Amino acid sequence: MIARRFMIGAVFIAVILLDIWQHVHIVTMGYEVEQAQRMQKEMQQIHQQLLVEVETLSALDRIERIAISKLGMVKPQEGQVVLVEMGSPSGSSPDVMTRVQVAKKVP
Amino acid sequence: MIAGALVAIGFLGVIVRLCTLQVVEATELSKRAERQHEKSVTLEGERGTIFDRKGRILATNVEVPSLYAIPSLISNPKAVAPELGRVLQSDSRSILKRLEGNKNFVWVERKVSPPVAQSVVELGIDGVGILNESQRFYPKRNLMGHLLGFAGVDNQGLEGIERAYNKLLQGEKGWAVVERDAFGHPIFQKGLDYFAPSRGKDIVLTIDEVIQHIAETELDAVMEQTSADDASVIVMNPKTGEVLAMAVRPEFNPNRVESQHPELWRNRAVTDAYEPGSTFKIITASAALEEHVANPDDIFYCEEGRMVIAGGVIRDHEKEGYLTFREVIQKSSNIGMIKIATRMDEARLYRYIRAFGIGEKSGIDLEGESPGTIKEPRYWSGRSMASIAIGQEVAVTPLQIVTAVSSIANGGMLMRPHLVSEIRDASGHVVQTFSPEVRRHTVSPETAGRMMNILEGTVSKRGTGEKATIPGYRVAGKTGTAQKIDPVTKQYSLQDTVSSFVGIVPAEDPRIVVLVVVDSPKGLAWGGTVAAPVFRNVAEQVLRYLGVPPRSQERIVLTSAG
Repeated sequence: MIARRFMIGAVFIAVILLDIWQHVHIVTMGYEVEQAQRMQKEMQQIHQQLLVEVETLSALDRIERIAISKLGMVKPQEGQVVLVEMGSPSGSSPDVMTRVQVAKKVP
Repeated sequence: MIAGALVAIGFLGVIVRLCTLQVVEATELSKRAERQHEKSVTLEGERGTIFDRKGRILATNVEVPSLYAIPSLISNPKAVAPELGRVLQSDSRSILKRLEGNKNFVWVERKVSPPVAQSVVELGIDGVGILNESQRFYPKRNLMGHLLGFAGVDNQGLEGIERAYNKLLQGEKGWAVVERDAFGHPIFQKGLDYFAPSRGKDIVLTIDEVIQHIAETELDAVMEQTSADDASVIVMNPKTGEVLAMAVRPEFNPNRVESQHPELWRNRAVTDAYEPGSTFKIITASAALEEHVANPDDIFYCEEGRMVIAGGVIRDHEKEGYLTFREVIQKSSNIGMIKIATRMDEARLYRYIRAFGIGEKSGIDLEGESPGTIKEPRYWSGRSMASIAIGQEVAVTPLQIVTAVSSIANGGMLMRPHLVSEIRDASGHVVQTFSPEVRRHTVSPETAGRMMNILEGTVSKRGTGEKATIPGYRVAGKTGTAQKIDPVTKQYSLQDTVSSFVGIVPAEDPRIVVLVVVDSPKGLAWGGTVAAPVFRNVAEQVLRYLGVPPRSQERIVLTSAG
């Protein structure tokens, strides 16, 4: 009789402990999820910042300024641009040719 | 005995209290507990990105700090407000007013720079904190600022594309109920009480960043050379009505809206109408050709540069005698043009002007467009026919002129100009595309072809548009020099003019139509001297960029050995 009561008590306590453990586990997991979400957001923010930085640095006025002032580049002058047409060996029509323009080197 | 009774009474009290809490007040208390443990959070839907036609980012979002306060946690607002005012460089009285209000949450200052936010954190004031908010950012700064417009502090579009496409760009707000621990930190979202925010749609423009950059660089140069009041350039694909570039000066940086006068926000190429002067002769001449009242080789006497009409004198800038129709356009003779126009009646000319889209909005996807002004013939005076034929007594927007001239370039179709080519959802799938839309037919393909031929003559050694010639390309175009009305004398001013040039290139298979309008340039202010060179510089670079080969260019043909 005592053993049976003891058993019931033990099961009851075990159930309560399991419930508490579950709750604690859920809360812990909740914190982990929250932290992971925060990290994901931070990463996304960094990614976005880098994207914005790339776009800002690749603004054409900036590139042109660097090309002219730092690298000493100049715009191709008249007669300096050569059209390179890449055709197939069978001599395809100009419509399907790939055209590339290159600047001739000035002596 | 007494002790036993006291214990019993005590127990009874506890049982009664327990019943009150668990049964009578249970609902109210559990709600209160939920309020303490749960917090409803609004989740902002991110605004969509704006791309150029090649996928380069023109408008996006960045996270910036905003400062908030919880007034109930601030014990001495009178001491805190001046401190915050000093760091934020704003009015401390206004901050104090907010801190002393009876709200649970107030914004102290929204969207501040990170260093300023850091300085506020360093003050260590209880009840003042930072929340990150999304702010619109335009990585290309001034580039097409007028066109993109800007979004306000709550991310609502206020000008330009941002305004016109606000509903699509704006995401939908969501909300979530978050459970908090004893310290107020969120634990996790409760399953059912969650409505996900949705990101706004992305917009792909028809604008090409490179072409826009070319147009703006050349505009900057002409503004510097001529000290003009303002200027604009529009580059359009005449076959589709796609706007490839729309540049306006003085410049406007949408990242710094507050520090710039609202006058600078305006997209003058769309909102401001001006008297076009001689570029309008393209419409008059096309009408005359379509109506068969004149042929390109018909001869007109140009009265040696001076003619009296309805009591007023009309002058040409050069004294001309006999000129063919073709030469009238090439030399931009006002008198010759008036003589051609008067072969039609007023109603017919008016019908063609309206057919070319003057006096109505073009339907471009921007707000605030001006329809321009053209009076109905019943309100015309004795001089109106002559004035309108040469582009006076009529007001047009630069966009209307470039669209009207595009209809000559494409064989007579008036297209609806548009700026957006695609709308995409958050995962990059195309949800809508915009196809070219023909509004109506202006003239027959034959008339358009003859007009192109005449306009090619303008861009030659004999014509007013000589400075628009581009080696290796056939260019058709027309200069325009319109005198502005002096606000004091109410007469046409001799100094203030609007110089313009509209060009089509290559004439044999038009790829672009470019309009240059320079308002009040100082010094020599003819359209042929001020605007035509800008056209040439823009068109030459754009053609090279688009890979349109010049006719006379040296070529190398590479073929693979296999």
